[in-house]
Parts: sequence; C-alpha cells; structure tokens
Amino acid sequence: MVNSDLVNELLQSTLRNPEKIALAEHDNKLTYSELWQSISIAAKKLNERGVTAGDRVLFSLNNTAVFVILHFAILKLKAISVPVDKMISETNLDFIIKDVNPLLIISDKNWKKKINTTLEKFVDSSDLLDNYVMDNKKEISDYGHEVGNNNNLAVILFTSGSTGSPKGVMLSNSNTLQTVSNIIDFCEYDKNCFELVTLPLSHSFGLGQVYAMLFSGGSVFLETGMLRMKRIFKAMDDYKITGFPTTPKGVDLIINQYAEIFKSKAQHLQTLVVNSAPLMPDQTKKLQKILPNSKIYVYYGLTEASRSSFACLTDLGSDMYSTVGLPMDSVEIAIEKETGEIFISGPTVSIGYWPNKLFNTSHNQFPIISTGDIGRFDRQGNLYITGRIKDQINVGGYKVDPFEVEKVVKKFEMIKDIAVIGFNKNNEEHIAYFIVPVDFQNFKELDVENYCRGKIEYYKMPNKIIILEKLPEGVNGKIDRIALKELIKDIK
Amino acid sequence: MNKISINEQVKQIIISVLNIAEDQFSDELAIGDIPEWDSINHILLIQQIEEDFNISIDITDAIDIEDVFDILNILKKYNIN
Repeated sequence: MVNSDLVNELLQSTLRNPEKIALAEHDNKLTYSELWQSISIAAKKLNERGVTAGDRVLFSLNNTAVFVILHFAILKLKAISVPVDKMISETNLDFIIKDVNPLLIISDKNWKKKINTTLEKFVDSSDLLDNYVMDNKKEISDYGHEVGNNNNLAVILFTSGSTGSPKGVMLSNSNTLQTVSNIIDFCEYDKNCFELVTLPLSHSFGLGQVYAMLFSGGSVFLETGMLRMKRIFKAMDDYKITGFPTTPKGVDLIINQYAEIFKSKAQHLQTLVVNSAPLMPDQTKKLQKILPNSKIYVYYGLTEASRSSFACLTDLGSDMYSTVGLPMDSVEIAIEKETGEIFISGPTVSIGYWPNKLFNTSHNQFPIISTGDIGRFDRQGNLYITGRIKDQINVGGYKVDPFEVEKVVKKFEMIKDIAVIGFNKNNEEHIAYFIVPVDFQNFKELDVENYCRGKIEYYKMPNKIIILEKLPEGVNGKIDRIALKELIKDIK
Repeated sequence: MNKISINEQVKQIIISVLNIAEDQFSDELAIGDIPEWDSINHILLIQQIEEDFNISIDITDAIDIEDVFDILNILKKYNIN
C-alpha cells in the first residue's frame, strides 16, 4: 500500500471533488473544500492550545460535522484522537481519562459535569470551533498536509468491555486504511454514494462508514441515533440516500414501526450494512421484503479487528442468512479445534491495547487476536458465529451457547426478545431465560417450555423464566448480560 | 377537559413511560435529551398517548413528534383540548 494516512485520503478526495457535498446535517452542509478548510482552522486552534504530534485529545460529541472536523484536525497534527461515547458512565470516563492522560478534553458544556477530575483540561467545543471565518480566497493547497508514518498510532477507541474496565484499542493509520479499503471494495462504494449515518461515531462501525464515504468521494448525512425520524426521512428525500448502515435494533424499528414510510423514502437505497449484534434470519427476510431493491450486508469484526469478514446476504440468499461471510482480503481467520474460538490476524488488526499491551504476532508478522467468539466454517469457507466462550454455560458437563438457544426460542411468536443467562445455584450451573413477551397478560411460561421441547436439547431448557419489560442494554446496544447476572442474584 | 389538565396528563404519561423522576421533566424536554427518551421508549410513549386519549395517531403525524410541545400540538390536531 502506498504510504498514506487518514488525513491524506481525505485530502485526495477533496482535490478530486472540492465542490461536492462531503457532510450534511439537518441544518447545515459542507463541501469537501469547506470541510478541509474547517479541519485546517481547527488544527491551528488546537495547536495554539498546545496540541502537537503524539498528544492524546479526548472528545465527546454527537454525530455532527464538528465531530468529523475535530477528529481530522487532531489527526492532521499527528496527535492521537480519542473519541468517547456521550453516554459513557462517569466511572468509565474517569478510568479512561486516567489511562490516556489526554492533553485536552473537548465536549459541550453539559457533558462537563461528568468529569470528576482534571477540569482544567476541559475545552468547550463551541469555544473552540464555533464562529470561525472561512476564507473564500484560500485554496485547498494553502492548507497542506504532510503524510507521516502510517504505522503510527492515530486513534484509540475504547471498547465498552463486558467485564472489568474499558480497553483502549490502538489503531494506526495503516490498520484503518486497510479496513476502509476492504469496506469500499466489498460494498462497491464510489463518489455517487450518499450514506445516512445514525450510528455513534465514537465506535468503529459508524466511524468506519464515515471514512468509507469520505475516502471514496461520497457524502455523509449525520444524525445522532434513530430518534428524530422526521429529519431522517427528510434527508432520505432531499439527498436521495443510497446507504443506511444500522444495527439489528434499527432494523427492528424499520420493520415494526416505520415499514411503509421507510419503503417509500428508500427509492435510492442501495446498501444496508447491519452490525453491532447478530442479525437474525427472520429480520433479514422481513427487511428484504420491505426493500427488495436494496442489498443487505453484514460483517463480522471487533473494534480490535474491524470488518474481518463480510457477506452480502441479498446475493447469498435466505439459506445463508446466518453467515457473516468470507474473510476479507489479507485477513486470516482461524478456528481453534478444541474450543471453537475464532482467531483473527492481518493488517487490519490493531497492534494492541493502550498503552502497551501488544497483541502477539502470527506467522505472517501481523498481530493476531483471540476474539472470545466461537464459530465454524461451512465447506465454502463462510464463517458462522455460534456463541461467546465466556457466555457459555456448563450444565452438568454439557456446553450451552446462549446465542444458539436464543436464536431458536426467539422464533416463538409469543416472544419479543430473550436473553439466556447461566446462574449458579448449589454449586451447579443452571439456565435462566429472561423473556420480553409480546402479550404480557396472556403469556404463560408453560407455552415457552412446550415450544422449546423437541427443538432444543433437554439440558438447554430453562430452570427459571423471568419476565421483563425490556432487556437491559450496554452502551454499544448489545444485551447487558452482566446486568442480567446481577438481577438473577437478587431473585430467589 | 381543560388545558391545564391535558398538560398535566401528558406530563404524567411521559414520567411514567420513561420512568423518570418528576424533576427530570420539563416542558422543553425532547427525544434524546435524556437516555430514557430513546427510540424504543418513544414508540411506547406514542402508544400510551393513543391509549390514554383514545386516538390513533397517523404515522406521518407520529414522526413529527419530537418533544413535549409536539405531543400537545398533535393532541390539539386530534381535537383533544
């Protein structure tokens, strides 16, 4: 790969398409040249506050042009960008601030009260980035950029960590460029694409989609979450949106609440990439029915190894809706024989966790990670995820994958959602089903047991069924299994 | 049914569905302002409004609802005043 970095890729897109819309929001839009100038001005302002190469800058912002401007401004100085989720807990934020020791912490005024220490490092984003004047006489080349070593650390993304403290995944320019190149190639993105990104930009899914659009010369409409549907539908009309990356929860909203109106607005929609949690085959079927002319993609990856495999479910057909596809170019995926655990290696894999917990390297000299996921390949080499090692429940010697059980039980029409959790009683592991019923009044536990009988092995049947209005979720939108384990401790 | 009563009813519905404390509520509260007013609870909120006021809100009106003010406007549109 030619030596390049994230900022240079944006610059190249800018030089090719200066007057094209790069970013849009509900009340604003920026061309590539305006975006580039904004980034350059922001970089100057950060530099005036002491930010130089190697410094960490932590920030937390909604999905706005300001997020993108600030992120690239930090990278332009060859400093290290540390975006964190707006919903982060005070405990985790405290931990991250102590771990990363940022030079500056940037967000809006309201977020400041989450910070318990180091308030002197806080900068209000509006003080930094509002009210700057664009100079129409300036050329793009007036704000140059010198490409650095693309193996240098560029971004630290903290994973929410299902156990213990968050971990800072170190991503270099080259990790990210290879990942983005894979996304662009697989989804066939080009300058005619316009994606609507509602996913949090502080996570690799949302941020990766923004990179993919900007580096292929496309455009991005930014909205924070699928909350303000009026804005989303207006954007789909105004900008003829071609891509809508989302999560399975987003797919449920589309299918269950907004099917007809989404279908009417999706005339130009070519791609839906779905990730952050497994997409159930039933959800894919329903979504494809609503959007027969759109391609549905899923991928498998972690923050540590983003987009490691990709699948176009539309092309593969309904028999293969459970797969997460083939490994991407240059990515090696292996499954350990004994445990079934998935290992990933390649140039897209992070070098390790901040500050110096480096991953081992494989035979190809690239980092290799153990994912904690369990999977299998089919004969064509398509990967299927079958569970998580640490979520496995050991019932009298039998290993139970909660994910497998959830997939079966979720097909029962009386169940809206389910989580299967192991709990310890009298030194033995038992199984609890946390169920969100469709109809609370008419729900009977016996119906669930009757449905499951014959469909799953006897040792996967529930010892306890607990009814909830809603399953608790972590910041990343996945089921918060730790919270459920805590809950079951309180239930006699 | 007088105006104060409708406003108070809407306030209580929001507090109940979002499961928030009374001091978390304000007349300017909008979707996304607090973690509790997320996309899932937003749907539940609209459903509760429909049930409590015995109306069926058209989807094109429902997507216009983003804050307390919008809820009160929609109720006026559906002749609840």
